[in-house]
Amino acid sequence: MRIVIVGAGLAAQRCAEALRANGHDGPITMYGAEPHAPYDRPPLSKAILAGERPELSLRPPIWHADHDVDLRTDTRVTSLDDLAFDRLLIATGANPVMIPALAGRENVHVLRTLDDALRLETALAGSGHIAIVGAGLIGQEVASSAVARGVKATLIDAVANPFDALMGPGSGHHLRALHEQAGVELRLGRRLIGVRDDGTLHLDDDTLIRADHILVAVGVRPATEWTPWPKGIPVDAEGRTPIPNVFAAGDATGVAHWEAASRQGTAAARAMLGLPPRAEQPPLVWSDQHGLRIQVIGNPRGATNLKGPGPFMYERDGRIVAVVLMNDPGGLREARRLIDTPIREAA
Amino acid sequence: MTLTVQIDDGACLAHGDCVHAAPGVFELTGDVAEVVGPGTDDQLRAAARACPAGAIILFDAQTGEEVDP
Repeated sequence: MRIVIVGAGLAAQRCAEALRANGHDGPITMYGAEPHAPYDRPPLSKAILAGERPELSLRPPIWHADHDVDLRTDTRVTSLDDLAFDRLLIATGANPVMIPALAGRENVHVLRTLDDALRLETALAGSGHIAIVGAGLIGQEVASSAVARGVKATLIDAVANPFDALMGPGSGHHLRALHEQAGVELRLGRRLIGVRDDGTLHLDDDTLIRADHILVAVGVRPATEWTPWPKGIPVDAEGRTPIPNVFAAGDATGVAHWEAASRQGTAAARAMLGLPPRAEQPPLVWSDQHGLRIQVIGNPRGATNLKGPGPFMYERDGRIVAVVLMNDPGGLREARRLIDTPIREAA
Repeated sequence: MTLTVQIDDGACLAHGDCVHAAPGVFELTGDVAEVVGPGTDDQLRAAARACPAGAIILFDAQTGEEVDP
């Protein structure tokens, strides 16, 4: 059975690993558009921006040769018709969304790839002030990394409390306070209405922000314009797309988190080999900001805050649906056990 | 206290932080981490704390009870 993997990020790598670990000994070809072997992206917004150069490779450089995986970097696949396979995994990830008024400017950045991160790090090294448009996870982590190295950071978002998205409804102010204490300048509930020729940002309350560099971090779009599903690939729980023998995993399916990509890559490999799925786990998202690790187990979106901090708990219909830990990695196992238990038992 | 260790295969994401925290104790062999050698309590605690997935379970070797890292 000939297996082709398009993409060389986390989901792609996990798929290849699970295929080999579960006994597939036929050919595997992996195509990556970037010049690098599969690497870990979470450090891009943290260690790399701190000026560190940690080993980012997901596996030692020899792994692909050792496991007979034909890794072709610098190779962008542009059509399904060009591929010969018995099973195909599409794991081409996502691309950052650019704000048209900021496109093409030399001091405007996005953060997705290692090359983006190295360019942004060089910018921070020679910069006194960065403006960050978009206060999602990337924006928050870059703001944290910038102020940690003495660069002024202005974090702008149209949403008044963007920190609720990570921390859960009503708890965002705990994270907001960390940003304020660290000296991040917040411009929340403010929309960008114009960009002057010199790059000055004009907000809807007539604030003008003139920064040396600008990061656009307003989300990503699945990099699937070359497939029949340009807006993201629909998949079932084991990664099957509507086309037989074609699977997809990771950000290409519209789920943009590390843990989900890892699990989806493994799940697709198992399904390709006809193996039963692994037991489901509640989703896990984590973020490192201002020296704190925040871990979110389950999905707090739209849920009701029961208690917190220490840890934050959320319920829906009488059951615990999410637990948020701040600097409490030892609490993760207990948090996982609490998910889907009735409120009374948890309290 | 002497600790023993177990990996929760369902939770493990093969991130590899345990291998960095306690080389020679943990290894990534298949699609999850495995315990491949003995480790000191400090090494085991460091690995359990480093694991982003909470997949490393520590037990008191005497009582068999699960302990926090």
